[in-house]
Amino acid sequence: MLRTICGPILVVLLSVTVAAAQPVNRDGQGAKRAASGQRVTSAGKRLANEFSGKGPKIGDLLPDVTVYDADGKEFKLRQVKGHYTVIVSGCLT
Amino acid sequence: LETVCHDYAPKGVEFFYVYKALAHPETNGYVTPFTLAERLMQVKEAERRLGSKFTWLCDTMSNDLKHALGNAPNSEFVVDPEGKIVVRRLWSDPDQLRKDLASLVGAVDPPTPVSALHLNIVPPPKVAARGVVPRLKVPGPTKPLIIHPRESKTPYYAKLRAEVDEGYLKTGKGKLYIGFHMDPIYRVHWNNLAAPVHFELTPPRGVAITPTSGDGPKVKEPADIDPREFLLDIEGKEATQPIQLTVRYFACNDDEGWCRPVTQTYTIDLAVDPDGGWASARHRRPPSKGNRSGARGARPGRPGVRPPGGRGPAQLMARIRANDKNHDGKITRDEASPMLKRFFDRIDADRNGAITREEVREFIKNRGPSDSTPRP
Repeated sequence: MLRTICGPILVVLLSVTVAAAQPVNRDGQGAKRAASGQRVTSAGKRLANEFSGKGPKIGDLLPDVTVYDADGKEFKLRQVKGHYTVIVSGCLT
Repeated sequence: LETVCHDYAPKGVEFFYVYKALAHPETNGYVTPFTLAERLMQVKEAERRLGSKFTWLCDTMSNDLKHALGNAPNSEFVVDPEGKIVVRRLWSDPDQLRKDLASLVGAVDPPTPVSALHLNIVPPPKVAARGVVPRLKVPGPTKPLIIHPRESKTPYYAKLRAEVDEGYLKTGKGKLYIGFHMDPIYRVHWNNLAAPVHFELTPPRGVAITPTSGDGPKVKEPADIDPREFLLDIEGKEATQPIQLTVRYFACNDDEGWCRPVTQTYTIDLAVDPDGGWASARHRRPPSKGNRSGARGARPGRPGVRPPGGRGPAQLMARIRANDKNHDGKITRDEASPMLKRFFDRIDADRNGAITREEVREFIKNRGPSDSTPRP
């Protein structure tokens, strides 16, 4: 399956316009991609800069936010504990 | 990503998708929901189209989680058993995620191939004709405005999107885009046998908008789902009040067997909506003469000569074929670039581990004019 459910349009994904600016705290993948010659767009840079300065950091707890499950029942994000958990955000477009 | 879930869920790893505000409204016809119930309907739509095994969560309508997680459209986090974040990424990266989980809970070898999951990605619904009303050409970049639909007993089958161009934002004089988009989650279409869509708006004091009313085109097709779009002149930024807008239209749902007139009202703040997304499908450049693909940077009048980096089918084909490093006419997974690897299993229709020219052509043909098929 593909890398994102809410990223740029398919063609943009293939043209690697925004992926080049991906900052990855854990593995430094953004630098690796930039070094490979992929284009870094201004939109990608902006997103990367915004993301690097916002949101939780490594070692932080998840935000204390209540969202909903697929049936509309409240779901506290911080109840996610006791095992390793992957959280990916996305949408239909 | 589904294969990572398939391999690591048995090891006790839990997987969540957080469904959030649309990053690219209008792509495949999907539009920004107005209510939580509508966003939850989009979650169901995403589940239906993907057949994903992830557990879906839905962000609040004030986008609390999107903001709290740093506003990235496709971020990825791994949380340890104590609830602390151990991995964060701007963009989800399944290959790297698999490596991360291997280091945290042990490797799964061999990894499950996508073909083993028999995933069936369902195309978006098409309840009526599409492409019969030409899309409006909006010059230059635009920003979405904050809109407030008034309470309505009737669902907002057609949803307003309002944007202003950069000229307006910089100088107070520019263009106002008004678009009414049929929401595919309701499976409705325009009734072209009735009067076309009609809107009227009242600008606030200090703002001039021309014209202040408009009618959609008369369409020969009895039904379609194309947006009804208008480009208005707007001048004046000193408004303290919002724009008032009323729209009338006829909508039909063939499955449920009804057609009905709808009148709905909005207020539009002359302020940019930071969560409004970017309607990338609308801003794609139209085809130019001699370049049917409409690729960015292509030279009009020079068919067949298309510089790399464009976005049309020919450019896409060329970019994919450039992965064929040994020039044997096939692209194996080892030859594929990291980006192509993410699409590999969708293109490799016969699941034989190699992409042929015909499979690429079929993939491009089926992806549609603005395909962003949801992808877990």
